[in-house]
Amino acid sequence: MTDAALGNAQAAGNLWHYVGKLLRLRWVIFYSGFRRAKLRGKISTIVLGLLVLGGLAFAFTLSLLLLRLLRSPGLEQFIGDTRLLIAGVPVLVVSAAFVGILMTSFGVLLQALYLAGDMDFLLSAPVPLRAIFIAKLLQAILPNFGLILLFGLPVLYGLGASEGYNVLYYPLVLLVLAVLALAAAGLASLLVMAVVRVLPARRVAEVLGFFVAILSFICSQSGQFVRYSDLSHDQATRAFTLLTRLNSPWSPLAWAGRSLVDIGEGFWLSGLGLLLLTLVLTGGVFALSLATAERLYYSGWARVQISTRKKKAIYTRRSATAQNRELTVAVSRAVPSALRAIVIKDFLMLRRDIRNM
Amino acid sequence: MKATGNPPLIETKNLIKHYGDKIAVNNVSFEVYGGEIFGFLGPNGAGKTTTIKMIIGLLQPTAGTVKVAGYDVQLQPLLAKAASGYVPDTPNLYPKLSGRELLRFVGDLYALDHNRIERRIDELLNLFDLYQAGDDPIDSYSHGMQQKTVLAAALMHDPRVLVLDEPTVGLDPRSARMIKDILRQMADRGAAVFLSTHILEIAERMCDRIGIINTGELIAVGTMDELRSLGKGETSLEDIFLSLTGGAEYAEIAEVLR
Repeated sequence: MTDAALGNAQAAGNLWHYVGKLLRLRWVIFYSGFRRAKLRGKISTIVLGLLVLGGLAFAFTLSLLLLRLLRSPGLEQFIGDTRLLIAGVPVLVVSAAFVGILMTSFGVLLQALYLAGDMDFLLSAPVPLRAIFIAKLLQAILPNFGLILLFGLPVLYGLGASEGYNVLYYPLVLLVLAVLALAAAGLASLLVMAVVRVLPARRVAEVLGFFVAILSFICSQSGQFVRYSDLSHDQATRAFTLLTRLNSPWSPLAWAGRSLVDIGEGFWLSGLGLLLLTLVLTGGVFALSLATAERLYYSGWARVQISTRKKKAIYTRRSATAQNRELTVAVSRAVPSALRAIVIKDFLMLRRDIRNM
Repeated sequence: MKATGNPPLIETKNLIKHYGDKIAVNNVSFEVYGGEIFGFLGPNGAGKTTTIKMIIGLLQPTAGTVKVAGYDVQLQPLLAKAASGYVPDTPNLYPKLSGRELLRFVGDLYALDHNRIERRIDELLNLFDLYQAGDDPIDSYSHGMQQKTVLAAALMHDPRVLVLDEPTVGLDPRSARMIKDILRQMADRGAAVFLSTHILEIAERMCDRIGIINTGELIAVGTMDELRSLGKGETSLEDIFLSLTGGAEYAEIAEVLR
């Protein structure tokens, strides 16, 4: 490489320039995949896009109905003062966004950091380490963040419109959701590295897929058995009280939601104070997670597995061998050796799979 | 500076890598000069890949320094990486991209200008016999084609230092020969080529100098003649390797199995 090119590489070495390049790669991959897909694949992608737009319209309608319900005199008679509940909606949405992104980005980050296999390729290129991690984190949260916006924004903006909130409320909703998403992704990256130190990444992905499938099945089926018409006044009140409990003054997630409500209602001091606290806290969590993840990955510790199983004492194995010898001889007489070998192999693999779960 | 007059393009000094109590690489020092092919040999788990990853800037050494093209990999990582190309043992690429798109992305990462990127892509696709498949997605490529694509990506910015981890694994003889010829051409043009391999015949025939690592320590470095003088009269690299790494006892096991 010429010195001029080296100079170019160095001069162009600002962080966001490279983050942009790496994110553009994801777009190129998506576009290439779409362009080369068969007609059926292209139609499926377009249908998916239309479904997302339909989901957006559905979320808008749902949020309008929800807000109408929250402001209805009937509900007030049923559960008492609804103002607390309405003020708790932003807290509920931002808390759900944070937890949702934390959980969903775990799987995506596991794939991006360990299973995609492009980390070595990217880290060996003249790209700042931090740019690679930021691009990976953004890559992990962007699709989920899109979904959160899809369902969360209509509710929060609908709330703002119905309550006549200050105009500053609307951009700050986006800012708060974005910083919470970054903090959640940062924490998820650390969680991924901690888990992968104990279990192989591929095994974690398999187990995660299994649990997500089971959870989805349970959620979809449990909805069939719930009878909302049988909900008593007491149960409804308890459920709504539980929601308002999320709005605790000691919960950092509540600070984010309360800051939005306070700014929306024009309580500037408390609103801006809580917003500043949210920004500092989420920024700190993200920066700390990023620095730790980089350090662990670069030092090699993020890729080193630790053995969690203690070695068995030799005498145990010897005595077990002696005890089993007679049984083994008897079994070997009754079962053909090839069949026995296959059964033992399957049993050992099953035992390992269960242990790894 | 070496007698040929070429400066060292890879320099490792007292390189150490620990994982807790485990010592992966212990006090490894060597130089690879411009214009030479350096073979890095060692048994499985000897520390070859860890050393390579420290040279290329993927891993931080516990102690010691690595310089690539005169740049300290720890202190000037972007300059060191801009001067080097890396070919990993398994070609993990972006399967949905075409070879041409991948090379364009690599050119962009190395901040090459647009015209040079397009010219270089055509040159490399022709050189590696990939021109026809250049617009096909990489997941439709055979293992050999993927390996050649990785090598083309590593050569995209015409690096002064080329580091390859097992470059000929899984290649047919024709592709393996092509890669050997290209590496020799790179060295003849003044680049330093550092490759690890398990195929001792390749190391013996291709490499100007050879380093042997065992249990994290560099136990021998030199030309074939210099390595022969270290052994006990062995003439082939295989015998020297087994003698130095303690693998000669396996010959006795083979005798028992006969």
